[in-house]
Amino acid sequence: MKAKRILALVLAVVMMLSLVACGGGSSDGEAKTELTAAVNAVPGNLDISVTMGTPLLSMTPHVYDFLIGMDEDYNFIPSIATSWERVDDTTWTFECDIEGYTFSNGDPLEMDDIIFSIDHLWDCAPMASYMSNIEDYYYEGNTLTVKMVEPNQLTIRNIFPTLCPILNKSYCEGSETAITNMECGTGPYVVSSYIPGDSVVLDLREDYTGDVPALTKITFKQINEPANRYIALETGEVDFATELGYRDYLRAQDNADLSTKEQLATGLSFYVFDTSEPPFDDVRVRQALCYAMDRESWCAITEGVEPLYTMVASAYEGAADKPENSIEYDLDKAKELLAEAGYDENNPLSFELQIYVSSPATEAYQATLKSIGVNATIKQYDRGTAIAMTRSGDHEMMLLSLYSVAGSALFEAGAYRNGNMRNFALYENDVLDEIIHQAEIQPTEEEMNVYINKAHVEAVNHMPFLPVANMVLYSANDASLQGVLQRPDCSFVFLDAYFE
Amino acid sequence: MYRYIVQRLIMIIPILILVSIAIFLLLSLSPNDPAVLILGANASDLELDMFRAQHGLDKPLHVQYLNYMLGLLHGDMGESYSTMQDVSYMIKIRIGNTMILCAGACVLITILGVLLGVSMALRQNSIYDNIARVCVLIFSAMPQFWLGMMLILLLAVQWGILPPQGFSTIRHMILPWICTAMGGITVVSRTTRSSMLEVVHQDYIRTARAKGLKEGYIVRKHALKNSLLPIITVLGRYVGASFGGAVVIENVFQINGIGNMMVTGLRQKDIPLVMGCVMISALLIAIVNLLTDIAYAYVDPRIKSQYEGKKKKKKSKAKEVSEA
Repeated sequence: MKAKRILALVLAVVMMLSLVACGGGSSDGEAKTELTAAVNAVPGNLDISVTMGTPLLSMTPHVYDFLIGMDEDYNFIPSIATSWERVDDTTWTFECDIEGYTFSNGDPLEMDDIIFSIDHLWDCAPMASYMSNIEDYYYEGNTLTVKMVEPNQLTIRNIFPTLCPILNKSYCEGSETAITNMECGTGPYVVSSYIPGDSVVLDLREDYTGDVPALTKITFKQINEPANRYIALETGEVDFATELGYRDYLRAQDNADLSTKEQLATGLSFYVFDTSEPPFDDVRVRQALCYAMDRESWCAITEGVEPLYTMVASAYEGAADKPENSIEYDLDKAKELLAEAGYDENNPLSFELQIYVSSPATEAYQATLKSIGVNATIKQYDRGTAIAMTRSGDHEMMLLSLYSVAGSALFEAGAYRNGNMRNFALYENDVLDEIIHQAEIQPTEEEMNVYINKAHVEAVNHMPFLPVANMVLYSANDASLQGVLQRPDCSFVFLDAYFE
Repeated sequence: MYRYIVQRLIMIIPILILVSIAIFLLLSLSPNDPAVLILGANASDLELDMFRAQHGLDKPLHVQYLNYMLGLLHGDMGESYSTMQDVSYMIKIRIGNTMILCAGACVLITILGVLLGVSMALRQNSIYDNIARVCVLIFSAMPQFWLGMMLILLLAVQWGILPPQGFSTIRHMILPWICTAMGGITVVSRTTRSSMLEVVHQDYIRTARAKGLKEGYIVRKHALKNSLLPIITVLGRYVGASFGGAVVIENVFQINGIGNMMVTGLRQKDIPLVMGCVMISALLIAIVNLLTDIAYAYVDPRIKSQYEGKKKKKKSKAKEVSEA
């Protein structure tokens, strides 16, 4: 009897060991052609016009083509439109070469498909403000003309390179899930499996006639937590992971099987003042608090960020020059300004310093403010409440961290403009408004950047915001993976990627 | 007995209605605008207004609720605010994972918890019993998410014998099952131990031993059967609780289940999505409670007779009236 028990136990242990030992194949000497990438979300809807976000910015270019393309520095490059022209302040034309483009169901691309793709955007709430500036669009031959209501570079940039994939009109009209499941595009890949919240698998099209990518299969796997993404990378579950934590990035650098990349991202951390109410309606108070900010220490405590002096991310080269009149850390100057504004030991400045994520750097800033006689009480709110407060003007001084995926410095610089959705400071200033308006109507990026940098200089005189840090994007991948295009908005494209 | 079961099933309907009203009111009256939460801080007023109009958020609350319930009567759980997909479809593709997670955990809780409890009771105050009780105490104090992270670091990262996340194969399911079941195993084992200890010292057990019956037979047929009631109570509770605990484990192990989806929906105040998940959970918990009651009746004939007792009483009363 006892022997039977022992035998049963041994059998159970052997079965368990065989269960856990299964799996994991060995690789041969040939280069891999299948890649798995970790993303922070696989949305329940693959229509990028509805579910904007970096995972879809990464997935969509593999399945669809766009009217115009964009390189890693956000410069326009030819795609379906091989050339484009700004005819006047409000009119753009695009010369389209639709020959050779076919959808995955075999239909050839037609100009009506491009019109249909733009028509679709009217039904998408997140696109409403962009589309409100579109007056008309039509084609003659292979030339598409787009007319805007008012001159604004941002309209074309926001819509056509990333948020308006070219859809198959006849297929979409016959299928309810064509757009939400990304079923039919002109790109080199087709969705072979889609499990919302879990994964998207793209297979290389056999009938694709363009530049055929090296990878035959790409899997986008949802892994919410940055730490889990790194664990998946280290254990070989995925080949590519981005938006890693700083400490995991340092660990990845020590791992010989991984290669790493860090780049400035289009994400900012900044404090915003409610300039419509005391005490922050006084520019001296705002400037005093800026003089009390030691950006280097703030970034050192936060880890993985870089000091920032403008409301435009440093990733936008040429549009985020540090203003000559930037306010640098100077506690004596801060005390002087506070005294001028009427705050001293007998009448200390007191306010609520509001956050929605834990911020040790803000606690250190609070201590610095205390040393100059300012009583800042840190209060943490949930994200939704914090956003609602900034929109309704119920905030005092709040720490915000925002990413932009627009690919344009003008989008971020809009924070200086009265009435703009990023003007959380509720600040009204005719000079800044005029400068930003001039930036919007400039014909080229370079000319636009001149005005944006002027806005930064002028903003220092008013300080409706206190920019402190530029986020840094940390990525890592299998060391044999090459050719990944990564943008500062955390999106990535594998069209030219390959394994050595 | 069957009448009792049918009555309980019918009772589920008003329970679900009350749950739906409570959840809808709690969500609708709570602060924050779903349009702002979903579209983000950069959204313009135009985008927010369009979003609210598309999802009926500009209508009065009672109209929104009635529209939702009318749709539910037709099997339509509404459309998610964030994804604009059918909530029923979103639940359908995820509920399987959650059910497998909970079912696997419940099997582990039942088998390991009961076996451990019985073995501890039969070896009361021995070295084995003392060591087992300390271990049970330690594991009961461990938070699920911490245990999960430690197991991942040890078994997946350091030793590489199990995958760190996912839920596609049996190998992937081992760690999530262990983490989900651990709390239940500790409670069930302690309940089984104390319940068994009450029974094994009874006279009829001594009599059975005196008659020369084998110890294993006595434990299975007499001791365990008579100590099952409290164990079934605790098991029933843990089957229901495992749905709630699944949220944490789904997050740690990146399992695409309804727990994870519900947390995302709560953060975005995606009312149709949260209501769909809560209604499904409420339905499952109500069914589990019913199954627990049925199990009581199966295990204990005295309880079964209570359900059948009413029917017999009514029959005898009717007979008396007709004779009169």
